[in-house]
Amino acid sequence: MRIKCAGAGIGLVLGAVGLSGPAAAAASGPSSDSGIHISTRHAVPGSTVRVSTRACGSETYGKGEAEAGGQFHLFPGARTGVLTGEFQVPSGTEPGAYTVTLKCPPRVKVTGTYLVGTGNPSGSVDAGFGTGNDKGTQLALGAVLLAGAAAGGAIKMRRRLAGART
Amino acid sequence: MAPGDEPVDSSPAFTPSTKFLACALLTGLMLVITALRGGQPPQPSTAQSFSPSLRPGLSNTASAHHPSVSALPPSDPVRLRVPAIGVNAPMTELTLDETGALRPPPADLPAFAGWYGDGTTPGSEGTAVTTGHVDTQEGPGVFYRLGALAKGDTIEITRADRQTAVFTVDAVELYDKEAFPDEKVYGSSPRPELRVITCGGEYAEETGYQGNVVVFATLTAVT
Repeated sequence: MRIKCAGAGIGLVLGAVGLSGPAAAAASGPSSDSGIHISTRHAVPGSTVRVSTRACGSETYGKGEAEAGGQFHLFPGARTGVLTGEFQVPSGTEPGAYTVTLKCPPRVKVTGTYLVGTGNPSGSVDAGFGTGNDKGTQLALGAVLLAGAAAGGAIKMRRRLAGART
Repeated sequence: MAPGDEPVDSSPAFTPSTKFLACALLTGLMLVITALRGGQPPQPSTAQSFSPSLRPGLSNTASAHHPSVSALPPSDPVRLRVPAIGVNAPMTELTLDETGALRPPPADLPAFAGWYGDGTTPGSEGTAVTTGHVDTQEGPGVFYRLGALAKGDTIEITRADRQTAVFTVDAVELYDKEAFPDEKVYGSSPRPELRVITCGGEYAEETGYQGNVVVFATLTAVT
């Protein structure tokens, strides 16, 4: 969370001076401050990315431009002071980090970064826990039962022999 | 003892019956034997890996030896059966986490097999990806015996459209999680192919399973 806040701070500063700073923004991932909020951390070709911002204040219209996604409009959403819009990542888009820029009057401009993946999974799958077999306990319990069975057997034998004698 | 008296039973109140002793003996033996044997899931032998000179997607796949089967249109899988290892499992859809890794089925559904919902549906053109637990805290999971599969075994996946895609195993490999070959396992393919993944390799208490068992299979029939 610390990294995310620092990155969001950087993103705000960079956005405020109109610089896109993709490297810094990419390090923090999509920021979730009032500058710009991008819904999909890992977009894939063909998927829709939703963008929202508080940076336009009471304005009711904003213009968005997404690298690889094209232009889109931002309109007031359910919450006051927030403009939202969306764009689609074209199929065939190469994996990588892309910039999205939002503009609204009088001269507000904020940028953010979204990531496009291959759409395929990556890396290993965490699909096992190791059976909780406590081998030590099993062994101990088993040994006790065997010892008990042996002792019980011995008692029976003794009684049988004693009975045969009387 | 006075004459005429009943003989006093001099044994104490509890005498274990033979049946009770037999139970204790058998249970004790079972516990000791399973504890000693260790209970590890079967792992693939090198005989089941791809031949060194060939890669997946080329002529070493099962489909090269079967009449060609057309790819099916997309349809969600519902049931997965692996007759050779007695698997008959319902299926559940899976997603990717923030790092792009495939999430396995929830830990409280160890008997379910999962499939990557945003990828190819099994039987359609491309690489369909399925995964399931090898075990959980409670015991073996749906894919406990996946490592015992051999080339030529079949995996049957029934889809929502009532067609069953039958895949034939081309290879069973074991990969280190630290060096997982993404392209080889997840990369797309021009034919209908299947991957079945579970945990495997060495197990350590602190770090869990070190590897993944990956079964590579190609569609060879539709029933």
